[in-house]
Amino acid sequence: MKIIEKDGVKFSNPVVVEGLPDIGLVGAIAVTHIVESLGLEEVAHFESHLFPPIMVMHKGVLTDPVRILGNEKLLVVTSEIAIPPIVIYPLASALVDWLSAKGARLVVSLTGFPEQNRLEIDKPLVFGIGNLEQSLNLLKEKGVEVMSEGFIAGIYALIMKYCMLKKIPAITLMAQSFPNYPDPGAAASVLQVVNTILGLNVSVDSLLEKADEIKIKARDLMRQTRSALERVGKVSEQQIPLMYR
Amino acid sequence: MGWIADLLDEIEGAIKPSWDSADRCLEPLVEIENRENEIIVTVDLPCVEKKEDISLEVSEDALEIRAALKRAIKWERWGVVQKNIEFTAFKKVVILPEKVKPEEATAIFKRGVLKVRLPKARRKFTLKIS
Repeated sequence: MKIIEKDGVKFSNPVVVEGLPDIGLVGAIAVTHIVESLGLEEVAHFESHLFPPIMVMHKGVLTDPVRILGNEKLLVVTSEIAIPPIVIYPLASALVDWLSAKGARLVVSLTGFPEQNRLEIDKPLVFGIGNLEQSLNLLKEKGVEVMSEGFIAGIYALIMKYCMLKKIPAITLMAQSFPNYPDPGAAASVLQVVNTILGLNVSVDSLLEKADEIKIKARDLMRQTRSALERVGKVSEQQIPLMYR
Repeated sequence: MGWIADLLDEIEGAIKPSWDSADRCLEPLVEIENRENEIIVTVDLPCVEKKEDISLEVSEDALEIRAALKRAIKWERWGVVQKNIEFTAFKKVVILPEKVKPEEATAIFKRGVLKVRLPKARRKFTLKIS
């Protein structure tokens, strides 16, 4: 797994927002909205023979589907295809090594927390997880409810772990979400917290206005993601852990 | 060689169309929950405004859903074939994992999600232990 940078890009201790496809495509929807709202451009892409042989066309230009967009101070990690289970370890490891080399000062992963009762919930709640004392303090300062016990599974779990090994503060923000449908409402909840933590000021209303359109467009990515998640044991997040302390 | 099978699944998933160009219909996302006494089918129907726009046909072993979109959808910037098609409805036939009693089925439509409850046809008796 390699990360290929565009020529001439400079980095100045960037903050990183990761939104790879996962439960309810919460992170993918949120980061796509951040990219569109802030007009972020590609700075790097992931290269590996473990990805399916897929390229994306945007305005007639051939583009890699798993990319990093952003600027000197803000980077966004996104994918237009489901992440195959076999890619999770090498991708998380390559990403964190690269971020460490760029002097990343905070990594924020965005995802959904599967909520069977989602249909009855108006405004999904957001929970936070931190990998270091510094990240936990940040969540508490910003008034985010911290998940203190439980399992987390998926690429963000590995990103948090590898960041911890490299002493990079990382947090995951998870919103109550439909497990198997794209959930722009959950993405809006998580985006509100991102705005508070990073001071981004990205409009949440404009995301909610195009919720139906997003849900229709994201059906195929959701189907692929659902099948990939079934293979990585995502169900374990719903189990009760037996822990001795 | 499990990873090859996985890779082929990925590719198949990526290229299998989720629309029917002849019928101008999109395929909705569907979830099937097989409970002890009933099967619950939920269907994500964005862009469908009201329950009157949805038609449901239930038999013992299948549920057919058709729902009109509040406006036609066209992807002008995407693809080659599909960019010229206007999609006007969702359509899906769900094959049920067990036989159900169609006459006792119920449905609700809330926040763009259709939820259909289908009681199972299988009869159960409580046995007394002597």
